[in-house]
Amino acid sequence: MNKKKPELLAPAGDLEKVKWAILYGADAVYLGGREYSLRANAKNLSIEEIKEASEYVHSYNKKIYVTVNIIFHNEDLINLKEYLIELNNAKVDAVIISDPIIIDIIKELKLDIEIHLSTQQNTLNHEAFKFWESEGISRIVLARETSKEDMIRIKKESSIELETFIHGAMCVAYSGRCVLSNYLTNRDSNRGGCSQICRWNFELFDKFKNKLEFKEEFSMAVKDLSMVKHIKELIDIGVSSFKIEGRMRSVYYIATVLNIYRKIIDDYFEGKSDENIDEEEYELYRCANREAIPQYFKSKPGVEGQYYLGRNEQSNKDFLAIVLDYDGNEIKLEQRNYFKVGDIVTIFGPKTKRFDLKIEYIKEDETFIDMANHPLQVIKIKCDKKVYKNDIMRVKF
Amino acid sequence: MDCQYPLEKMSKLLVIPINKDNFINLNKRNIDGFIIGLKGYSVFTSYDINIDEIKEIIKLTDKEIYISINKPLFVEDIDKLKPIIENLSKLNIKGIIYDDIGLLNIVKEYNINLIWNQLHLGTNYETCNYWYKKGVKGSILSTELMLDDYINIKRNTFLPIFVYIYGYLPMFESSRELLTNYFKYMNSNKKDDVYYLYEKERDKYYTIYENNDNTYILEDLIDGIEEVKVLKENNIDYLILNGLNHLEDKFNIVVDSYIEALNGNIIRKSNNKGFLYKETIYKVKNE
Repeated sequence: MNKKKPELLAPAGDLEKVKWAILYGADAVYLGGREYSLRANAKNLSIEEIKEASEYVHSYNKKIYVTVNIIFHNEDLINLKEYLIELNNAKVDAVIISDPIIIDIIKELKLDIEIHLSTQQNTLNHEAFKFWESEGISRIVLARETSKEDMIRIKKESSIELETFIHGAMCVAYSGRCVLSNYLTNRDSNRGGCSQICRWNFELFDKFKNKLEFKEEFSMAVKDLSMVKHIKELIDIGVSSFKIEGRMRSVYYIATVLNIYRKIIDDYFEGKSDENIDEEEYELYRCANREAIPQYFKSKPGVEGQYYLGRNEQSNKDFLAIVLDYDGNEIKLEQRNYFKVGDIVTIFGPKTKRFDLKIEYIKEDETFIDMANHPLQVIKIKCDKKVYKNDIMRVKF
Repeated sequence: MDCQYPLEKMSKLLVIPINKDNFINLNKRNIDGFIIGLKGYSVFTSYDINIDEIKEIIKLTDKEIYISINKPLFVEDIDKLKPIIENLSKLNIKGIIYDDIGLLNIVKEYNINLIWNQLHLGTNYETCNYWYKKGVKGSILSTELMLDDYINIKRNTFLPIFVYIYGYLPMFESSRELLTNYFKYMNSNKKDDVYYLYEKERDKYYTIYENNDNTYILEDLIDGIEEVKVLKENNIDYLILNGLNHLEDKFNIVVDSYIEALNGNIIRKSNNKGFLYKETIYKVKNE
């Protein structure tokens, strides 16, 4: 196969998630610093942590990108140059930007850092790609509304790298064109303060301000994105980077999503057919607990793309434990959620093909117990099949 | 940057008319120009017309005419716009207001002034300077800025500055048909052109409507009539008044009041000043 293998790009909200992402098959990670990132209220990383993440990622020959993607106000410009110099010194591979002033600063300071244009710039067409290419941008994250047909045309007419989201939450609005958060909660959405008004319910009134009496209130909430059944098409188009959304998501989410997409990409390049795609799609649904569709890829989403009924986004407690060690007979685990003797569970990992296991016994400090019901409880279970440190045990479904 | 100001302080008044009658009526008034939408390619304007109609209305006025092409542009839009842009380049218009960077790329081969208006993204002077260096001739700044921000940006850029001082505030734009979808889900049909979202927390109604298969939500009117004096003294180049969602009689009175205000006579008070004196936050807690 002559096609170039795309990069699998994972979110990393903190240093721990950087390591999990690399372990579970990410080719690159993206993260935000404490300043200038569109997830202003996430934990994010200090500059020292970014340096540490950079060293870690590069030790595995992987890449690290830092989001500097707020829309700057005058007062935000004050320390911007110094921050970019620090990122350059941390040897990050690229910055992901929305505001083009960073292009000029990087050129002026002659920093050795690539510039990726954020989806926040809402780039939808080949002419925009050509402009940004002439400005020195090396990669553009496509607007969320880009169709397959438009991706093909853009790829044909531009030599710049295409990055596209393949999984995760969506904005209902065009990126950068929603300031509901500013007006309704005084939090600036384009500087990372988005309060997700689009997930609120509203009463709807007609033009005479008479309330419409429907059984559900008006909602703008949209389902998530999942490209799990279209990865091969994206590879054939020549998309360079497949991005997973979710810098505020859990380790379990990152590991599960990466594990599935890594396998699909690798299988395609090894000429293997994917017979378990429906199972994988369901597994992705379970780990986010939200429905997901391919959004704009084939056609513009209609009513099927919306959420109207109340949703349960509470943790479904599927994540049971992390493997700490394996001695050939027993797995040493660290508990995350309740399980008991007799349960059938599923184990997976970067080198461990998913398999089911019946819990024959649980031992804590060499004492047999009936259930594992304490978070971070260290226990042992019987297992004949080889597993590895940092494999994940979850509910079988 | 130390920008040189003209000796005579002045701001021009640009109006986005409601319809052709309103255009003809306002053309008789002491305003400096109009912003007109290009049918199918403009958002948050109400008088959107095609290229032939633009040719006709240009003949009716000697005021400045800006054509607003500010919707996000898909590949198909770009293909369709190319011949239209060529036609516009032959007309006596003052400039094109653009949002999509693809439009910038296709317009640059023609001798047309471009005004940068990426809706909520014009928020600092350095970005204005970036576009100035690309040959852009003006910037319509974001409506989520404070009065001092407008002044500081103007002081630090050579780019002519346009401030949206009156009209409904654009808050939201989605490529989805959110009303149509909702009615479909409820086994009903969308009957009106405009609806209102009601927010219990602030006991407020927001206009929501669909146009060109997209959905838009508007905040209340911003009315900065009492700030005209300070904007003028600080050499803001253009003040924009938008007639979207207005009845003509009321809007004409508004336009007259701004003409008076530019002459130093503030003849009424305003109720909503948007973010002119209100700072937004984005970090809820400091670690």
